[in-house]
Amino acid sequence: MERQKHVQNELILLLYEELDDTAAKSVRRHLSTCTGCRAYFEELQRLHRTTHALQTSVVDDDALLVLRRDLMRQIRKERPQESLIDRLLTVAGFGSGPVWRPVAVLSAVAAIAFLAGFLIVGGDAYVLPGLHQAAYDPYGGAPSSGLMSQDAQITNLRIIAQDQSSGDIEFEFEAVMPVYIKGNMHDPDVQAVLAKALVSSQNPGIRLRAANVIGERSQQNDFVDGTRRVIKESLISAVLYDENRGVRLEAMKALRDFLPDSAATSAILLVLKTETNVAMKIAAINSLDLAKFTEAPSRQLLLDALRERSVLDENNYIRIRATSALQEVQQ
Amino acid sequence: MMIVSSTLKPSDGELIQLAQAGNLSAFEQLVQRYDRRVLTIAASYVHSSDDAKDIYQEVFLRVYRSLGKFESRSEFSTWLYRITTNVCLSHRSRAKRHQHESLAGETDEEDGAYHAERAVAERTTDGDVHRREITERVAGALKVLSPRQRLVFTLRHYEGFKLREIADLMNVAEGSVKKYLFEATTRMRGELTDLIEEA
Repeated sequence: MERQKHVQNELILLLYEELDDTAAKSVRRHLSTCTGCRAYFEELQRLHRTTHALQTSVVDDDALLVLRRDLMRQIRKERPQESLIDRLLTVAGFGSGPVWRPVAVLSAVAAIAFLAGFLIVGGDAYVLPGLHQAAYDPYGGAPSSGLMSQDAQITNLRIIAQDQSSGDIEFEFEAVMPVYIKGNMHDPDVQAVLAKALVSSQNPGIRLRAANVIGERSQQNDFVDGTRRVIKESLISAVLYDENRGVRLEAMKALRDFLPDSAATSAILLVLKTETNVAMKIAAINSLDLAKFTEAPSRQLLLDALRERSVLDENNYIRIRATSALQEVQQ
Repeated sequence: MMIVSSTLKPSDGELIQLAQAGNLSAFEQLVQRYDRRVLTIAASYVHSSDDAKDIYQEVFLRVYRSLGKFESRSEFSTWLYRITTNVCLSHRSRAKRHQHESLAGETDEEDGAYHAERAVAERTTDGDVHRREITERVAGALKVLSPRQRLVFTLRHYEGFKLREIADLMNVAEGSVKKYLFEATTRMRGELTDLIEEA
């Protein structure tokens, strides 16, 4: 009985190709002489085929994209509220860590101020050279602490260690101070900062402004080749994952200028297919300028999506809008 | 300025470093690189799209929360699949949770919904009734297995992992994995005898 069970187990291993060459040869030799084991092995092979009827490896691409979107939204929600300095350090390639590094922090502060100023107020007032320069005091006065301007705003001060007897102290804080940076929208670094702000700023206002500025520049086809892809990926990420609808809408408007790029098209079509918000779907339809889609595969995808919406969408207006978009093409 | 771009095809190690430093885009790229297989494993294991989605979310949230502890001594994929197997084994299906919470025994209804979902997911046509029946029988047989037997069977049979790799993922001896596979195969054979004879 034990011997029989052992042989049956060996046959299972043979079926799954888990035996080494020597053992496999030995089992095959046995199979050629034992009708009982041969019958059992054939049964195992049939079981193998039958159970493969349940092959579930066909994962729906759209479902997967929706899952990714939900996951990234969840992660954004529970992301620790790290300081902007840390974030900028990361973006600037300094990495992160608990140790306070004045030079790196000042660079980050400069970038924060640039971002905040540029994105909220507008870019015209900033006329100082260099994006990567350390903090600059626009008022010309000597920094009061030796580290930063008198106008720096300090928040989140945290004492890490303090020795009362010697007076040594170790602490960290976040600081924002006014800085002038001279940048140019043709500068890939400036463009990359905007792209990064779009996907990583915690402030939806900044993300919105970033999307808006990118949209203005994309209309003028203003991006250098290397950065264009980064910008496009940031816009796609914002369209699919941003938790703020305004940012998503603005990003979609900007993404329109990248059509008929296949990734941009897929992102917009995904919104059209899976989004529940009507405004987003309308924006998606409006973004799809059919005249741009002259190549057969992407044009067909687009037409299929519009046809589907014209019939299946729950919202009357979307159905009408999709139908009229189709009619425009057919005329 | 460090920007992750797909054109550069960064390695897992590079993406992990960036993700550990807080770069969400890098984490997203890691997700995109592996999530199809994670979802496939989950779907093979639980046979319910809702449960598979729950497992998917749980796996990547655990990965994200534990990313700081990951040391590149092992492959990221091995670590990820190990988390996937752990989440699968500890997962309580929505149907069971619902049953437990309501004590109303609505599993038949849940099963009905699940079969309907599967039918859609597999794009089964109305005429393919026989195939659907086989699918349901196989799914039913898999449910009879213990969680560990089912996981080993799923990973080996559907996902093509070698037994040695499964042992590594489940953190058990290879001999134990073989034992689970033998038991699973024997039980599946017993459950599906009539189908096997037809095949």
